Amino acid sequence: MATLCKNCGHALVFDPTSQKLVCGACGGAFAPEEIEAEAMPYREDLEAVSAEKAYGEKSADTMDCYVYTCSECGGEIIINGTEASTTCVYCGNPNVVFSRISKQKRPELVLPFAITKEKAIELVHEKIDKGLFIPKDIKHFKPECVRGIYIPYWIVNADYMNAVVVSGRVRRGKHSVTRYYGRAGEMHIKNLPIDASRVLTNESSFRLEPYDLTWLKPFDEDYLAGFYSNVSDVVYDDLRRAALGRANEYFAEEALGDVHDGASNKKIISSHPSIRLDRDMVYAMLPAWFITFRYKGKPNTILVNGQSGKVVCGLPWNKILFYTLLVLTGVIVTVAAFLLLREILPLLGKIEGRIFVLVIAGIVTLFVTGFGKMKKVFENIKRTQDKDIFVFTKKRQG
Amino acid sequence: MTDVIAFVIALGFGFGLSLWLFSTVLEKSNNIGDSIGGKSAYKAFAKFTVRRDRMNGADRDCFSTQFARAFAANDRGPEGEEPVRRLTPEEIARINGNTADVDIGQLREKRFAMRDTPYEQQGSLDDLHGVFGKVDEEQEGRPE
Repeated sequence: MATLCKNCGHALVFDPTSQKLVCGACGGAFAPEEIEAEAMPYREDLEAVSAEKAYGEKSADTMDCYVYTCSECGGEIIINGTEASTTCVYCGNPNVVFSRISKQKRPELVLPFAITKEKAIELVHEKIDKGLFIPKDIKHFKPECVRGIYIPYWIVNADYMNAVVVSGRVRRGKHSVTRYYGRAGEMHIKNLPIDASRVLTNESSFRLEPYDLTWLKPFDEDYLAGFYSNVSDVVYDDLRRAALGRANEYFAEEALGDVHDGASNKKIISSHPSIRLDRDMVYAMLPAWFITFRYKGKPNTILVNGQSGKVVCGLPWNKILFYTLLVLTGVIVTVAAFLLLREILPLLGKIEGRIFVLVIAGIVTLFVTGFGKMKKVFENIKRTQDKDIFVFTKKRQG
Repeated sequence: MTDVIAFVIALGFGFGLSLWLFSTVLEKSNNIGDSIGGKSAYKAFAKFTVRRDRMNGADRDCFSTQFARAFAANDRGPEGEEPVRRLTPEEIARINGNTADVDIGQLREKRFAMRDTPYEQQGSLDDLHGVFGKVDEEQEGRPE
């Protein structure tokens, strides 16, 4: 059901620029707190009926599908089991499924969108237009759909303890030896947001961070008007696992940074973590734009933090250009280095073993870091081409 | 022989440098926003209670078991396959000092250091501002 304009009765939509609910018909603008939900008790009773019940038939197509009625035009709105707000496919008006955000299911806080749809697309173009290896077709991509989605999050505090052993290489005369260092301690994590939607992977939602939580507002369903949203569908163990993973990363970073001793190549070789989540978790809606497009038949979803405008994506690359430049530069540098070395090596006389080893180690490092960087790019491309996120975005009506 | 060594080193250096260079450019170009919230955003700073440097083999093997601590089974916080739910005001009050008159709104404001949004700072606006604004604009464009 939509929140209606006090002046003309048209459906209101939340505008990220003015942070107000605006009326597309008369131009009226209202702060969300000013709109008193007069029909709230009635709205809370409006349930989304399962498609099986509504149509009286069971099929794979109607699984996890619910039917809701648009308050503006009476059209049928099809939503999934966790959607809390959507847009009517017939009249385009925003609809909030109040029964899904009433009472205990209701989020406590919301971080309103601060980035408009146009701005989100502009930010994406700002990022990708400069990319040397981004194919032209992607630079001029036409979004299949752009959806502003409030992602449900649980904001948790946690206490964490760990005892880790760090190994590192230390120089000892002409050689280097492996040394071991022990670090045990504790850590407190404050206000870590963990996404509460199983469809969105933690790897993707973590990359939308940081969100500035000081701009959180008490939840009001009017903030959802014009946007899509989901409700929480995670269990406590999901949150524990996500928080433990993050805490492990932070503790490892601190432990590695705490080992000085001139050690290089430091890594954690043993870890015994323990975490305790605070019972008082805060259920909040945080904003993100999901922009989908297809490239060579593959689905791609670009995420944009709806508050800060941070763009998150790994885009397919122009392989021909990459390998051409790689080989050309490789050949040029090889020829130049060969001509130089041919002059230098006879002057040095016998090549000292140590220098030779250092040169080989340097070359190996160049290859290892080079392949490491490429691996990171491929992993991010895989996340961007994740079919689940694409379907999560595309399935929404509007 | 010198030529062979020079060629092998030059080949490795040439293609190694080229790979490093273009993978760095590729990362900058195609890997956008690949970072997560840093530890400072969540005040996640470790307090080390035990530090051992240059441990021998025996110390290394028993360090974790000797100094690792775990939260007791009855003190591990919420866990399990139960769906995460919002606590009732009574439960929140109990957790935060068991005070009967605890204001949850204030607790949250304090916890997140919540601030006013710009429109609140500007003060409340007339509900009909948009309507009159639109009418004014229309009138401005009309011929006399």
